Amino acid sequence: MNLPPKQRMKNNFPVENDKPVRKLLSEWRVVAKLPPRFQEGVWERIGNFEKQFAPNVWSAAWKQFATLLTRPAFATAYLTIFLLIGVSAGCERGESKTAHIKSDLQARYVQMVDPYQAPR
Amino acid sequence: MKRLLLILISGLMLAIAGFAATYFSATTHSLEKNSKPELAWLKEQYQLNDEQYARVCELYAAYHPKCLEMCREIDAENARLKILLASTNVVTPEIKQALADTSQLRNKCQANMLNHFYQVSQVMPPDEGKRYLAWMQKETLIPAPMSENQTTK
Repeated sequence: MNLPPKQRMKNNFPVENDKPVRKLLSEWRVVAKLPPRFQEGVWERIGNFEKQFAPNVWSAAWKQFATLLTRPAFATAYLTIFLLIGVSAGCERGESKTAHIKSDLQARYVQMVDPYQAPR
Repeated sequence: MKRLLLILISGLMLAIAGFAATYFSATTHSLEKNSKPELAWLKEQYQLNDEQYARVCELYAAYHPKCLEMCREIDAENARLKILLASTNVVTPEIKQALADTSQLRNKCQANMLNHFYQVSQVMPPDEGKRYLAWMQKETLIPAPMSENQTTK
């Protein structure tokens, strides 16, 4: 843009001063040593910071579940599900036990009438 | 919090109560409580009425002493054969005789058993009687085919 010289913005780093500063900066060396286990310490602090602010998924889920469960509809559904689980498990185990008893009685009947299979 | 705890515990209690109720109703305890559970099983399995069941019990009561006697004879014969087999390493006339006696005893026992099975089957409803006979013959008189007895190694 061709603006008049008065309206141009002043440069903060005049070109005439830049060279010595750059030379000085390039020659500058930091001689101080880092404290022992500096890197490890930094990572640890980052980790702790993340942990502090990370959302606890389980806690949030439990809170949501607890809130839902206090509603009558959900409480009824929860109780019904548990009742059904108990009933179906009892039915399955009961039938299995009955089958076992009958199988045992069948074998015992054969032993009762066959002298070659009778327990000695 | 109290309400939540109450709901959670109620769920568990309901599950336990449901399990117990169906477990005990689905399990056949009546057979085991019977004084002759094996014959009670027979009654249930072959759909015998009370009269038929009573007759089967009578037949068994008559057969039972014979069965015990057969057991004693079998044990005695087996013991005799065991002694003879242990005393020699050739087939002696005594061993031959003992084997023949064992075989004769088996024939006698099997004939007695079969007679009992026929009597019991005749008390049952015809189809159930046939089913009973087929099952008893398979379990006692007809040995399983060799292929069924072999185990894969």
